[in-house]
Amino acid sequence: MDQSFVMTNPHRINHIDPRIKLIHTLIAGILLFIVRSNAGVLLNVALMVAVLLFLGLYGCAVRLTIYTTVLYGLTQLLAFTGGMAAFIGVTVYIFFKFAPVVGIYYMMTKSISASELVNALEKIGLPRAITITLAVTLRFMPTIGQEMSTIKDSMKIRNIPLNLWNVLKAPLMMMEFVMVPLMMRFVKVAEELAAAAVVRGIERPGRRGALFKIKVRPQDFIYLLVVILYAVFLYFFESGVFG
Amino acid sequence: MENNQAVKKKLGIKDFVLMGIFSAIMFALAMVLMFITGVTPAVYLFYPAIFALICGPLFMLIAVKVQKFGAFLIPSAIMGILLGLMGAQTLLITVIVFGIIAELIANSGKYQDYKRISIAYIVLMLGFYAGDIAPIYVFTDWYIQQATGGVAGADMTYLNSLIGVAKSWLGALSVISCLITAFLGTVIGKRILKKHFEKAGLI
Repeated sequence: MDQSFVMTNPHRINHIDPRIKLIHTLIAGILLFIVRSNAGVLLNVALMVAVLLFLGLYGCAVRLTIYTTVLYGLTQLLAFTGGMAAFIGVTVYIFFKFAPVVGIYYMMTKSISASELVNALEKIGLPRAITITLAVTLRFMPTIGQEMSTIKDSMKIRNIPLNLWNVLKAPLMMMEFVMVPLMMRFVKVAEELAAAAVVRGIERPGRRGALFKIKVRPQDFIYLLVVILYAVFLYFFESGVFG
Repeated sequence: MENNQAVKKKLGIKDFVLMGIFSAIMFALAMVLMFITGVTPAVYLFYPAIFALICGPLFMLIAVKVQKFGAFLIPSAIMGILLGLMGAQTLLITVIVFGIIAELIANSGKYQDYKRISIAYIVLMLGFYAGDIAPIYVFTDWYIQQATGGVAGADMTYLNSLIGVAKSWLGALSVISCLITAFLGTVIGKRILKKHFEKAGLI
């Protein structure tokens, strides 16, 4: 969930309040258990594609469409073959069921910046303990890769390369060799980062300010209304009113 | 000196940063493991077990470094929120419920008692397992319902029983393996802390 390089402009027409998106995520999670039929999943994905197009994430919309079509084709093919193929079918089917969630994943990671997310969660009323920790977590995602490659390099210098063969030969030892430097390094980094944050006044009591004001605008309400109406429609669709 | 003691009871910015960084590692680890083990549900069932083994030392270090109320709850809540934003809301609920239980267990030993910390960790990983694996069972059931009603016909009853056996069997095995690896994780964690961190004076 690398959100460190997402830039958003809240003045554009297709900018939706992060809190509304959080509600959408929640609804999508509930729908995952309500929608049982294949047609329902396809309809659900159709909405996600429309939302991604609206948010301007054209590449993600295309990828989601391909993902869903391929998996739907596979489920149909495997169910038609029957027999043992149905065993693999379970896997494909589960992936297919999660297709709307893949859309949600694209929406949350590609259209919301990290600071915007933290701001929104703070406005919902989550305690500072959670929001500050979350901000640190999101900021740290990209750094882990760098630290890992440094550790890998130094392991190579000591002639203990981190490869599959070594991991299978001595899993606990390799785990120690990777984990200990990583943990040591991050304990040190935590201390430095905490000092830097204190100097910048993170312990100041009161509400945190934001460069971009977050507020609910008319289009946010329309977006939420569409999502809720669509969820209700899917609910009735599943209970067979239209069938 | 007394003032210093009083301040230590509340979570400070240092603790938040530490927990944040370690939740970042755990989250990255969870994502990598999910992609690797997501190939089939049979392997995916054991993903919490691998996760529990590797995260043991991390949680031990957090518990030892922070030693205040929230050392278990806050990192697990962060993991729950991040994974919940990606659609795993069952995980968010179970992780917070089990996180509170784990927190109370660890708190009863004032974060000094090694046994209570490891019990708390095992409870937390059980919650992680419950939240992550529960949807798979639901979806497998639906698949069977749908497939039996579909084209394949008579030989699906045989397959049904096969999937049923595999489910009960693998299910039980994966819960037990998750508990065992969580315990092993705490043992390894304790050993790593003793061998490296106490010597370096970082605790």
